Amino acid sequence: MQWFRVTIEETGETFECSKDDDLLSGMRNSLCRKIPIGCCNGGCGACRISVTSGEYRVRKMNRAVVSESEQASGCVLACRVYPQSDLQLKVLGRKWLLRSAASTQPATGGVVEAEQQQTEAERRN
Amino acid sequence: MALTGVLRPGHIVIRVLEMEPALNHYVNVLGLIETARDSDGKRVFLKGWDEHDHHSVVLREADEAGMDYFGWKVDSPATLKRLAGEISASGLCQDLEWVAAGDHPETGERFRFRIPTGHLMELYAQKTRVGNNCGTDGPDINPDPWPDGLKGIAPSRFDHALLYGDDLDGTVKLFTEVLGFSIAERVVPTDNPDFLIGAFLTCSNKAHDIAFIRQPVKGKLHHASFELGSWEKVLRAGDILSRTKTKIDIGPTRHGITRGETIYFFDPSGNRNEVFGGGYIYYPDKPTITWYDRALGPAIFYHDRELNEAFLTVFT
Repeated sequence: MQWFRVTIEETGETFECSKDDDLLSGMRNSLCRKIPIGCCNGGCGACRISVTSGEYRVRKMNRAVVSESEQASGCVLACRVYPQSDLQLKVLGRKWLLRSAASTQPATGGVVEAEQQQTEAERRN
Repeated sequence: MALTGVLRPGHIVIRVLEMEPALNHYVNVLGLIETARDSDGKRVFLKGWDEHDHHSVVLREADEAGMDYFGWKVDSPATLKRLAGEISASGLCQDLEWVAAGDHPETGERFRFRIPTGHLMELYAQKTRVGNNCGTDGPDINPDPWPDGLKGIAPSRFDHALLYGDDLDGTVKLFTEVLGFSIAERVVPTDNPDFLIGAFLTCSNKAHDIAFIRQPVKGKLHHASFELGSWEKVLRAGDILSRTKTKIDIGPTRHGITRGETIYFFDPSGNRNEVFGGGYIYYPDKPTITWYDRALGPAIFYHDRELNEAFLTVFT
């Protein structure tokens, strides 16, 4: 089996991933927990990453969480990415965050707030 | 007939990214039975073994995961017409339309409407009865308790769904004042007991037929749930999910709400499924159970007594 080294740019953490495993499974089989774990099946968008170098193939992912243009620029879900070489990536996380369901205030603008948080997070990256 | 009007959940249409892995999951792992598919293969129709009507789960191949719509069976064509009129008159719903008979195979006309939380719902009165294959001297004659040839977890039926949306007040008003549902359980803030965070609604003797949690989104699916008869069957389902390397979200555990025993897991498109056992029998004179938000942990996961992160953030 062919194995590749995956490096998370922000921290320098690495893990090994076989070419037959998706990146999230590879990380879950290691001690690394840097990429958020959600549905593990291309639906929820928790494990959104940006691949900054290396070759990979992808399986179909939920267009509601990764658009075609985002995918073209290297933004993908780790659970749907299979390495074809060593890879470097940045962790993005989900596109939007929700306030707690237990919020006692009627929900207004929670999604917008989260998008702003995300933009700030991307700026920091 | 004492149980009238909206009888029960009739069907849920789930969007899947790739049909082949989805069918492996829903047929071989979960153990639903295929009853029909479109000639182009874009929709496949399934049912649980103990459901008599033609289908209860529809998989549709699409670019986005989630739920297309949820259908309710009503007791008669007359009730269908009456409720369609009352939904229109309520002013609570949008995108009202009639869907012609035959759009779903073996199914009569359906009345479709978008509820305030953004989900599409339907009512229908007719679907062909195909039976549960238990009869030994003809359909429903001298039946065995279960049929031969079941695969995987093999739930008896599609049971309920939990949905996320923003205008919970509007949706609860529609279900209780127009469609005749009762609130079996609710979640509210300790200091504001009139503000609903969650509502668990029943149209039957079940602890819930559908549930909603307030979140600042429209039309999202948290999970689609399938009924198992016992805690032991829930544990057996856990074994099958591990053996098939199906991603488990949480469980086996128990919900405080409904008292049901549960496993949450994901289909190959990231839609959350549940297998569910136990719970109680609901009658219309049963008092509504209230959970305070500070007890939301044990309300959802009674053993852990806290939410896992995925409960609030992972949905399709």
